Amino acid sequence: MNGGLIQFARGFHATSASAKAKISVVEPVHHLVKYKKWHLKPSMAPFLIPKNSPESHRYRPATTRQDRILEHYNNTIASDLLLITHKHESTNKLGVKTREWSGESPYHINRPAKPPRGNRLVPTQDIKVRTNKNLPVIEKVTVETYDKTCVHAAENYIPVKVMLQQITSTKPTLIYAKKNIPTWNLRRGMVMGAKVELGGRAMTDFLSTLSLIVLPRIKEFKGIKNTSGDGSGNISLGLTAEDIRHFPEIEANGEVWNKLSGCNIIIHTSAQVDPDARTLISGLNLPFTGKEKIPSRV
Amino acid sequence: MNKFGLSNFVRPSIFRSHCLGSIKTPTSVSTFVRFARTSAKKKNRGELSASQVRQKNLLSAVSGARKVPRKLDMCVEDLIRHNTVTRAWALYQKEIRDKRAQNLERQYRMIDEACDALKSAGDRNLYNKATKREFGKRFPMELRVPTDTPPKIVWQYEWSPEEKEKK
Repeated sequence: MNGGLIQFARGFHATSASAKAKISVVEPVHHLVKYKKWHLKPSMAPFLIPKNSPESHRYRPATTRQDRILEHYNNTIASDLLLITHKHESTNKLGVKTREWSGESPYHINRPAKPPRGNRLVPTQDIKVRTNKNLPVIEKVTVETYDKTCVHAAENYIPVKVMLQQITSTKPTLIYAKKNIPTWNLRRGMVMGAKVELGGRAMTDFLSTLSLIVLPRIKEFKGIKNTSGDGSGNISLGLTAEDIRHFPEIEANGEVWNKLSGCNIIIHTSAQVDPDARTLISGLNLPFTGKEKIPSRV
Repeated sequence: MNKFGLSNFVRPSIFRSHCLGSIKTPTSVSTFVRFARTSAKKKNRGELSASQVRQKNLLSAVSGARKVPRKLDMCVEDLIRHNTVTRAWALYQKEIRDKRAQNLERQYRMIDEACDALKSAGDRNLYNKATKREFGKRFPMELRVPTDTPPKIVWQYEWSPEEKEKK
């Protein structure tokens, strides 16, 4: 050992990394794929068939009809968005990040990083140059419903779940409380409602139903609020229980639905800032109202 | 309840798995076994309230078992045919995708070149006005998503939103 030559910061432990004589640089290449021996049984063979093969029991044909909204995006909206969001000779704008300690003192080891500069605790994302490669697209739509009465009667999640499945034609998942909230009599693990995450055809079908049938029939609806948005390109709107009656699947046998509840609709886009997301969503016949506040970093 | 009825051994989990929400389940049995058994049976014999029946019907609508379609029964030739068509379709889609990406890339390059040319032309004021980023842009509400059955008059060129507001 040539321990006398090492001039690193003094560690607290005798076995700190700098003082070690040698370390292995050969990465282990065996057992990269983890498996259990019973996975190799012949009876497990059907589960190895990929989902897109008609031999699989999970097979569902994907492309069975035209996707109007996707074609509209590709034919019309994408090229317009490229022109609208273009800024000549722009550069990447770095967000504010947490600040690491320099490491010159041994007391810096394991010390948590400082929060970002300014009056904020959470780091912000970088805004990259807008090119043809990162055009904003609608990634998914989340429809979620919370029911207060589930606290007292847990079985009230059932009509909520059925309603969401009817209007989105996708199987919903339940939402559970993550922590105790004593003022609402809510405890961890209780059912609060249901949600659906839509993508692909189910998403575009839902959006076209929303923009062509449901929203035009709501008398008070002026448009999605321009203040809506979480700052990173996700826009949300809310529907009341009366608004949901305009969905054709609900309206067809409206007398059956004695109790409906409202829902939140969150449109997740890949836009880096909210103004870009609003421009994109307005291309699907979804109007916006109110004054728009442009963030300082766009 | 134990179907042989001789002991007071009860497995409440069986009852819980069958019941819905707020149905009362027998959780304890008195020492007088026969009497307790009959009374518990009377309470529980298939009588659901109207709301519980509605919940049960609703649950059957979202149950997974009915949504799983039957597995397709295909012979080997059918399977080969299906795989060939699927691969050809995927290839066709990839061609379309690549062409679309090429078009967008060309458009982006041309926009950049036009801006460069404008900058090198020397008129700084003109360049600034032309390349200024406009915020709050919206697609017009009259721009509809195209359908298979478009109207006979596709676009009314004389119409403008200002005229509509006056009326």
